[in-house]
Amino acid sequence: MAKSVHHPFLRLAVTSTALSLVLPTALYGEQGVQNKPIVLKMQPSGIEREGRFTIETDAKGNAKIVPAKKKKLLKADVGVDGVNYSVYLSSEPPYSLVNMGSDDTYFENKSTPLYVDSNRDGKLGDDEEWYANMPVRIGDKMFEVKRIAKNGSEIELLPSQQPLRGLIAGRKCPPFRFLAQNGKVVSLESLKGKPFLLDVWSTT
Amino acid sequence: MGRKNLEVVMLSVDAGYGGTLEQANRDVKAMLKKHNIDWTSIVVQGGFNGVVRKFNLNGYGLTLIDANGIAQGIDVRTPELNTLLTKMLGKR
Repeated sequence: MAKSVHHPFLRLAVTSTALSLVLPTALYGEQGVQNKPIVLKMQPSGIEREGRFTIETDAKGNAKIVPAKKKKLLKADVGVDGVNYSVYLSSEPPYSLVNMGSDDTYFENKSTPLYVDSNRDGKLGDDEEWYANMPVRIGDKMFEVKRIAKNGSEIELLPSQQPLRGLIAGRKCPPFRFLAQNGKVVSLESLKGKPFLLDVWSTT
Repeated sequence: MGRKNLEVVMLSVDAGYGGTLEQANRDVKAMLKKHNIDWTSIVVQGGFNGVVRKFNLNGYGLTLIDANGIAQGIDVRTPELNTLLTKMLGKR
């Protein structure tokens, strides 16, 4: 049975049988963010998730989609702003904090995916997938992945000063500022007070 | 419903498909003109990579943000989008 350790600025869930997280001295102090790492002790979760499918090309140049196999996930809970979130990691090493791919998109990013159950429904949607080479959003805070143990038993997160990124249902849209084709600046601030649809598309 | 009550912000990822940003701008403008669309249009530098780095979105689709800047639906499609919009804006 799980119980919680209360801390003025950080609440970490622990199990009654084993301490599942190392309690940091403080995460968010009154003097501002303190760079204290949080070490998540990853435990088997009983949850599986499909990895990425890959595309293989045979000698004749024919491309074939190779379905991804399901991987068992490890899990730990972390409290941010008084809310507990579960963080998941594949139980299958190797892990990488570096993206050796050509960019940070889903098909190219070769760093390790992490999952944060942001809506706390016990399921992991595509929007709850993050990559270890970029800041990870938990609640309304950003964290850098500083270390993943070789066997996946620990993830070390460091509070990040990076701007909020990532869209999560029910949570703040991250700030943005773009120059539109009509020459006007469009930002979260300029749209304040008005609902809007973000439409990701292309002409191709 | 009208854009007085709801803005549509189009984020084109054309710039990530090998051409220049200028070419992507031209292609997007031409496409919007052809279909007589005058919604706010942005060509995101870096294409999908730029969208991922800001919004953590990896695919095409619609995200609904309410007047308080809260994401109400990610990759929403009809009929869920209709339901959310009706709830947000009321019947029109």
